[in-house]
Amino acid sequence: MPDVDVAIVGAGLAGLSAAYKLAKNGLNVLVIERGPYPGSKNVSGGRMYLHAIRRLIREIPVENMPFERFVVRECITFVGEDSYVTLELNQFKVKQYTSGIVLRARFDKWFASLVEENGGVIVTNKRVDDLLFENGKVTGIIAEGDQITANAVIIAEGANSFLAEKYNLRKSFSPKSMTVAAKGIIELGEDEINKRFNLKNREGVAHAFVGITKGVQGGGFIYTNKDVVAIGVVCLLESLVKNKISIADLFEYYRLHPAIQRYIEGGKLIEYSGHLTPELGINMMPKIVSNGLLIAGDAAAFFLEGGPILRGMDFAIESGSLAAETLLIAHKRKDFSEKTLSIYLELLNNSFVLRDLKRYKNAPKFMNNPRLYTIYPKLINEIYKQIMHIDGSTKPLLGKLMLNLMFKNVNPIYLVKDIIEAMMYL
Amino acid sequence: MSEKKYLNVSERLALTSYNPDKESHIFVDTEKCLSCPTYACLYVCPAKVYELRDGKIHYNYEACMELGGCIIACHQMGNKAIKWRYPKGGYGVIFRYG
Repeated sequence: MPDVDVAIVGAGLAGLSAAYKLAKNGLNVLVIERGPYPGSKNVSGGRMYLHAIRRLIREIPVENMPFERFVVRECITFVGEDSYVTLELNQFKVKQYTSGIVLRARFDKWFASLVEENGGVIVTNKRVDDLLFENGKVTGIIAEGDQITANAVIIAEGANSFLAEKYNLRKSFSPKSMTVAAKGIIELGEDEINKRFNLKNREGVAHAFVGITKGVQGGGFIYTNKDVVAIGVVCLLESLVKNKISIADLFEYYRLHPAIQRYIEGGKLIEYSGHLTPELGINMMPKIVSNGLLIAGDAAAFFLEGGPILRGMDFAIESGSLAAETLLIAHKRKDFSEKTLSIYLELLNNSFVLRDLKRYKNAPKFMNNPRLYTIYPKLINEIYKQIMHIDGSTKPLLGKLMLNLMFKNVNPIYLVKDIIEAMMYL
Repeated sequence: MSEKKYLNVSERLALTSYNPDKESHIFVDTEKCLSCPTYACLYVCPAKVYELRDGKIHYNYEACMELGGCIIACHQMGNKAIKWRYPKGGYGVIFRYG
């Protein structure tokens, strides 16, 4: 008899989602987390799309989960040389929230306690170093010398997934396919946030910024939490190196930029953090099923970047949940072979996880275009400025004005190409 | 921390919690760095663990926030000098907000 039915590496959203479902269905589950508490190593920008967690945890309404706030306003700001233009989406007949803002150190801790209430066991302060094998099948893990045997193992250890690399389940990452983020938590207080962002109760704002990264491929974000504000920059690794701009310096440039200071002025920075995400999604998916083994979440490169949309957490929850569903079937059949566990691939193919990742598979081709981060944000500003500027001289007609500015700033062939690519790839 | 003042990275890191291990989880063959074409590690680390001083790479593992971006940068764009693993369980960075 193995020590447990399922051993899960990592108490992030993928691992905890799998553990929750397995424990709820009566299996013996052990989650091994290297941090001192679940969430202590976990960073996200802040926004989780709620559909996946709603389906997984049906008995608790999302309003009763430790979301900081729920997004009621979407903003995107295009930053020019000495100005910025903001587009704002407010919907006032929404019956149900689409996304919530989280601080992972708080959220994952809560999620882990929910897993424990349902009978799952979580061990912290333990690093998993190796997998145990028997006759070509994964039969457990080795965590700092301790062996734990299991019928199946789920690797949910995040973007680096050293275990997947060690056992040749994934290719080496390319700097073209990974983004790094630097994030800061700004203390403002609940009332001040409500006042500055014009919010009440648990309403929140998700705000993206383009053109604020000194030409590096990437962007910035602001998310309002309950009493703190999260700010940060997310950049393509290769682009930072090519532009010789440090993500650490860029963060401070961003934090002190007038477009950001407008919201956080006077607020104290109280935590500085960072995160790595696999940007290419489906194009770098590792081998996620083998004998006795499944991979879920960021470790499986389930991450989507499509324009201003960043999604990792709903993919993590859904893939963890489907990994659990697979193992429940395998448990019934008492068969944890690769063949049976391949049900996981079928389930993923029929879910939004692989459907959406396939749908957006060309998005990085579009995103890998320096004009998006330099010329276009500037152009939007210049056009808007000229439209609004009055000094007594007579302006050309709007069409002429726009064409003049466009042709002055960007080769029309590129402009046409970029518009076509946006329609094809996004 | 005053709000509008530029905070250098060590001032920022002073706000982040750590439980540093006595042993480093990062190993850099700094001889290899001498002929590195890009010094990619300098640009991708939000904690500036890596620093170029007097033509040599110095690294401070205690500041590491455990992203792992430096490994990819070094191995794909640099001279494959960085060896890196997660710190032992319980050690390293501890995010209070995340």
